[in-house]
This record gives sequence, structure tokens and C-alpha cells, in this order.
Amino acid sequence: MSMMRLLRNATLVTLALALTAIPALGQERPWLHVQVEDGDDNTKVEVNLPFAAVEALGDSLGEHILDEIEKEWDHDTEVDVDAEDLRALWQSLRDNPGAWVTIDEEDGGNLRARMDGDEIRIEGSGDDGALDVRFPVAFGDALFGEEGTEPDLAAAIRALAEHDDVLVSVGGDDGRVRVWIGPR
Amino acid sequence: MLRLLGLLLAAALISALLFGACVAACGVAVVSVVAEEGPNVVAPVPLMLPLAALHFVPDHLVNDEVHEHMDALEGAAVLALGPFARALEAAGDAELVRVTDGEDEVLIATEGDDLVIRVREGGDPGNRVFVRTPLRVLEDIGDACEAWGDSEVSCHPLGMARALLSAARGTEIAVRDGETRVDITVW
Repeated sequence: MSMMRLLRNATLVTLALALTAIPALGQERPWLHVQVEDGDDNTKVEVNLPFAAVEALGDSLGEHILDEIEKEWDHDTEVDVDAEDLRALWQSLRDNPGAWVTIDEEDGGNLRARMDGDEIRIEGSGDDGALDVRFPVAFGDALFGEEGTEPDLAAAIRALAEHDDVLVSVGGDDGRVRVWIGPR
Repeated sequence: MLRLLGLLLAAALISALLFGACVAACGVAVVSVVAEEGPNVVAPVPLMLPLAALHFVPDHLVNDEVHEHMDALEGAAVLALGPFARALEAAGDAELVRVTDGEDEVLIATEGDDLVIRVREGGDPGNRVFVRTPLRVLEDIGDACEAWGDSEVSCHPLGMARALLSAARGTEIAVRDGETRVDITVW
């Protein structure tokens, strides 16, 4: 009798262990996908990278990429936004969860952002098409978080790993760009 | 007299064996050119030749060249090659990049431990490029360089060439331009 009980308990333990292992088996590391379609000449670009590879690039290149962006930003006189403006916008989003914050309303188009739970959404529309951006709050915190701290692109990229969703979707008659993180 | 001849023959045989061993250890690139007009050429190139030639290039010449032409971002990109390649290798076979524009197409993929690039320009016969190289080549390029100072990178040209040549075994390059075809295989 005790042998039967032992066998039954062993079977139950084995089953429980197997059930716990099933989600882990199905859990694949995420991939970054980029799709660009040009409506004019039918050019199509598809990029698929294991997220671990993107993280490796972020760890090595993050600081230098931000330096390059800063240099380009300084040269581009058309863009009248600096790091302080971005930080202020970020703080405004953090302080008003759920409320839309208008970023730009020129030329008949509009661009607005909202903190929605642990996600930031940016929506825009204009003559060229529509824009939809979604990213985790931790991503923005790493880039525009604390005043006096340097933006950390590597940390921002790592924050995206859990974002199993669309990152950027821009579409119009001229073409479409879609960036998302998901399974292979 | 016979003894001298025997010694000379033995020396020649040992030299040939040593040369053969060196060639086998360093690898051989076989270059084949099949032209639309003109003779077809197949030439084996022992990889020990470029390695031997590199010994005569002063390190500082190549290092100066690297420093003058590589900015901080490019240097960091070289250092990132190792971890990037290892992450690709761990992820298994995948189509990494596909660019299509009418009949033109560029495809970059990982197959086994190799990185494969296929380029097709125009319809048949058109131009074709095919490159297969072990991902370890990227790792070895990265590993032959190291961070130097705050934002500079120092690459050891000879170490890089050695690593490249030894890792390049299994590399295949095929270029077809109309009816002309060039194949390079590294054994």
C-alpha cells in the first residue's frame, strides 16, 4: 500500500515539474523586427535580429550613438528642440498619467503623447499619414529620467526586451515603417 | 658524391614537407575564374603568403591608418562584432536582412555557424554575388582589437590578419557577372 502511495506521489511530483517546465520551453528570447515599404518604387526592407544581438550592440555602441545624435542635432537647425525640452516633456508625461500631452500642432497635423500604465503612447497624424509609437516607461526613464544623469541607451534597449508589442508604426500613401518586438 | 646528393635530396624533401605542412596549416584559397571569352583559370593561393608578407609591414603604419580613419563610433562597432556575432550564433538559423527592389534582392542570413550573403541584380542571367563565411570571422576581427584610452580602439593588424585567415576556412565567395564567374573557396 505504501509502495502505491509512493508511486502516486512520485507521479504527481513528476507531472507538476513537467507542467512548470512547459512555459519555460515555449519561452523564446524576443526578436526585433523592422519592415520598411516604399510605396513609390515598391522597395521593401525587412530586418530581423535576435534581441540579444541588439543588446550587445547597445552595450558597446550606446554611448557613442548618443554622442553622434547630439552632434547631428546641433547641426540640424530645423529642429528647435533640445535635451531640456525633451526632459520637460517626459516629466510632464510622468506627472499626468492617462492625460494626452500635445507635442506639436502645426501644418494641420498633430502629435500627442500619453502615459498609459507602464507604457508611453505617441500618436500623430498629418498629410503624410499616421504615426503610432509605444514604448515602456522604463525606456524613457533611461533616456530622459533624472536631471543631471547621462542618458543610457544600453539600459533603454534592455528595457525594451519585455515589450512584446509594436514599437513604431508609421504609415501613409508613400510607404510604411513598422518596428516591433516579438517572437522570431 | 653520392652522399652529398643524398643529403641534398633529403634537405629538399624535408623543405617540401615543411612547406606542405605550413600550407596545410595556414590554408589555401582556390581562385577559379571562368570568363565569357578567354581562358579559364584555377589558381591555388597558399594563405601563408599574405601572412608572410604582413610580417614585413611595420605595425605602426597600419595602426596609424586605423587611428586616422576610424572614429570612436566605428571603433566601438569593431569591438561590438564579437558579442554581436556570438548572439547571432546562439539564435540559430535566421533570415536577418532582406531588401527587395523589383528584380534586385539582397539577403543576409545565418545558416549553421555561417553568415551568408546573397545579392541578385537583374533577371537571369544578371549579376549574382554569394558569400558564405563562418561567424567566427566577425568574432576574431573584434577579438583582435581592444579599447585604448577613453574612446579609441587599437587593432593589431598581424593578429587580425592571422585570425581572419585562420577563421576564414570554409569561406566561399562566388561572383557572377553575366557569363563571367569568379569563385573563391578557402580550404
